[in-house]
Amino acid sequence: MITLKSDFGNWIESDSSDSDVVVSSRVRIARNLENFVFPYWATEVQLSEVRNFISKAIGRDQDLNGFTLIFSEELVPQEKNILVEKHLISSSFDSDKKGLAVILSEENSNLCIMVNEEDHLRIQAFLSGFQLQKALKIADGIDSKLSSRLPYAFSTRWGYLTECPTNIGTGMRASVMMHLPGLVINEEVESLFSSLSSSSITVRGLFGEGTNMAGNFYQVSSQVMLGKSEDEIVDNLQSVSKNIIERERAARQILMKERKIGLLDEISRSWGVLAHAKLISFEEAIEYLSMIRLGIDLKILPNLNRNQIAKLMMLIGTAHLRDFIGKDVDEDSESIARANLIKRKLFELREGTI
Amino acid sequence: MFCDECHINKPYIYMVKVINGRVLKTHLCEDCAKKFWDSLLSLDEFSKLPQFLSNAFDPGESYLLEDFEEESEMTCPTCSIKLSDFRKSGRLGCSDCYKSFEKKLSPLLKKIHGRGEHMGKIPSHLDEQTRLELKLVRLRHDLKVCVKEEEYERAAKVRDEIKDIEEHSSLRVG
Repeated sequence: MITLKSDFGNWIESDSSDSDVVVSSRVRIARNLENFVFPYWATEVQLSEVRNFISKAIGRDQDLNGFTLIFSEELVPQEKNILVEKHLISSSFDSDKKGLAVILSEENSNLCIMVNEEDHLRIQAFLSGFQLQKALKIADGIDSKLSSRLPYAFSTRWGYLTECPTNIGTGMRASVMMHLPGLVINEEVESLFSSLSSSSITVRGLFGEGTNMAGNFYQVSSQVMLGKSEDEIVDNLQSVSKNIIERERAARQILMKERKIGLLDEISRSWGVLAHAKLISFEEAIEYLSMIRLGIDLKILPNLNRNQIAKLMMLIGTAHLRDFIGKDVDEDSESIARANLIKRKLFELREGTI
Repeated sequence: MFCDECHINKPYIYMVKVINGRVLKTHLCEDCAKKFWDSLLSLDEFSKLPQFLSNAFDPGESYLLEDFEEESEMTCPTCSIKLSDFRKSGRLGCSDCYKSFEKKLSPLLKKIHGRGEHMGKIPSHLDEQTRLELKLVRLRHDLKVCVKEEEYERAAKVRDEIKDIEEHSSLRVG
């Protein structure tokens, strides 16, 4: 039985390749059924029909055993927010609306299917580190199984048909979440991103907007939907990402060479704030945890593990925190709880180190 | 005549903006046109796209199709969504809308996605005839690529494969 608490959706696994720069990899596939109205225009009855149809198809398939379908009506907002903070469903998944569903896999906690969000089906695989090919394989595998059971809307000219015409074609978007403190500190990030504009790749900051980007985390995504195969699209994102990884590593080396003491100071101060703050907001905590993560990557903070920091970043999200303290709280008590949790976790993690 | 944006290059596209009923005509060179489209498409985010499309179709500020209005009462027989509903929301009603509004949608789809055809995965429920048609489209695409890259040996193989399918399936169109 799946619980929505901490044991599910642990995409943060043991160290994977290139995880000094790439936090996670994601592949998302949009699919729709023929002869059913798209979710935006569908009535609750029509949404339920789609959901029943999909639910029956999954129930019939032996290969699809081990999937749990959770109706939106059964999902309380708190549980929905937990799934959002785990990056398993999108924040636009409206759990107040009837007729939607989330499908989770018992075997594979990296996989999630949303029913009746923007499209009838949104299949998503989410893995830690730089594992785009594997994410594609997981999402594609489940899509093939569903494809043999469901009449997907498809045109030979335009590919898979979606509610929003910008997603037609493969209906697939691949993305990686990257941690780029070196490029941000060296002020190279802007020029890097403008050089990407011709490579069918888009970049956006993950936390915060515009210049108030918190924590140096960026999402780099594929843009092309039509005229290329899924493999070609993923390969392109892979090679662009490799280039960014190399540039980030070079930037960190330059920092270590040219302003090591400044960097040590910043990392130590971040530790100091996190270890002693009494009140801390999510954005501020992410900012400092980004520096801790950099300290681990540069072996300035030995015996710490970056996956533990990644987990901590998830645990201090509002929904996780509320789940952890077990009640609805105001903003101040939330900031107090967050500061306490971080303090405790950091000291637990640091045991045995300086 | 020069591009209205950079005043250096020759115009490549002719763009009509309708803002609150006022018509603005602009000539843009290839580079400036590309910049303009990139600026629109940089909004490209899975969730925010309907908003972008809706803006693009907003009658107050419509960049894309000046003759859209007269046919906005076109209705999809399967889901009863009107073309004007799509203009307002940026969301289609069902997969048949792509056929029902084909004439109006095609130019928009080409503008968003370029000239490419679907080269990705194929669902398993397609009949044999459709599969072969799709295979032919892809092989012809491969053939062009081989010739362009001067890989004549591979090109010959692809050409034979195309010929083989055409002869055995009476699919000579295209």
